[in-house]
Amino acid sequence: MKGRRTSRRTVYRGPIQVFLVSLAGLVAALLFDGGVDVVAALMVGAPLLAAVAMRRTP
Amino acid sequence: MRPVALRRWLWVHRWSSLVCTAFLLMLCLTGLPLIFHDEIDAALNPDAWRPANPDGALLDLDMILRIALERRPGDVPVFMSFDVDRPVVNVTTGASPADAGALHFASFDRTSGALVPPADVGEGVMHFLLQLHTDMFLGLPGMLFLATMGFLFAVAIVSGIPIYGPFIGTRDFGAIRSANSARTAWLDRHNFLGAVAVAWTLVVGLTGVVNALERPVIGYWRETALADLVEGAGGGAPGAGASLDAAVTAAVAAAPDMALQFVAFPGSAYSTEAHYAIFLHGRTPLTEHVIAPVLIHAASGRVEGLRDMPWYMKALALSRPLHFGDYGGLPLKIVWALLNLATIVILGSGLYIWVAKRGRRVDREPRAKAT
Repeated sequence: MKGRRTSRRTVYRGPIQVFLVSLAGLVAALLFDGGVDVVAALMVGAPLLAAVAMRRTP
Repeated sequence: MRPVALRRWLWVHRWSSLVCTAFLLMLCLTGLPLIFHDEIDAALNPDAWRPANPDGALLDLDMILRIALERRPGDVPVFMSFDVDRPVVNVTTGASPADAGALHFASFDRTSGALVPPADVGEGVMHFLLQLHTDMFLGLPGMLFLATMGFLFAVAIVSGIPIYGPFIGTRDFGAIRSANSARTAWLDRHNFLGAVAVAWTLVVGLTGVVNALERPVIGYWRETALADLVEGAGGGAPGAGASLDAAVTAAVAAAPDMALQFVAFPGSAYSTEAHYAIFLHGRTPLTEHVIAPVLIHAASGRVEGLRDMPWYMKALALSRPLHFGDYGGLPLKIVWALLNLATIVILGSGLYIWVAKRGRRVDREPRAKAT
């Protein structure tokens, strides 16, 4: 039982991290302007960065 | 997860996505150029226009309204909006304020009253795409249909979450089995892109649903939040009494921490039959998307005060920038476009996986019958 829980956590860890960063970026872009825009865009684009990073990792 | 539960989630994911895929692909394709609407517009229409009297006094709004109506005999005013960076007033008129289908839009130089040449190169194409994206040229039924498709898309996204784990098993996050069959590799890409883009697809999908419900939501707001003003307000045809210019000045004075956005004339979707609804917006990055009206009786000029928008109208106002991605500058728009393309890949790969699986099943059946 303990093993299954750990496995599920591992499977969902990556997607949850990307989800949270992306969601934070969506909100940050709404709350702030100025230089924060670029940071927020990068955060919203975390899925794409993750996708590129994953493909480059052997 | 128990096999029965997995099978149920799979069924929900498969059919909710299959039903909406064709429409979602259309929405993604038409949405792509709409993200860059401002940039395309600016590139096709370089701004060479200058006001007639750059240092002259501004004409009052009643004068501009009179000029606009003289150019459109038989029309009534519906909306008036104001350019931010130049002295230009935009007047929308129509045969009836409630007829959203046949409105006429014209811009006027506030220093002279002259017509500002429309910057409409490429506008026809953009209008076509926007209309297709919004209601498929079917009006309210089209909007409600697309809202249903957006809801099914959200169901497909949510139902994809519980089946992601069992499908990934013990493989690493982002691992693609390229050496296996094309279907397996595309299944992995579908799962990976779908998992990482959940936040964006869910936000854009759900805000699309909210946007598609715009007309019923505004109608409900008019009937409930403005009901007390409608009762006993009497007729208030514009120009019958109160000065529009004085009304706008009074509205801005009533909410000094807000900025003027647009005027909705009596009878239009955003006002009552008897009031000018003068919409103001906040000045912070968040509140600039949230509008609130100061209502002024069009016949008497009586200021009814600032009406705070209910939560569902605020949600509607916030769902627009969150859907179109035009609230965080060009970098965010580029990310929006890339995630849009990723969504096309997710939709296309989902369809391919389903077709390939069916093909495999059809191949197996004759062999099974032969044995």
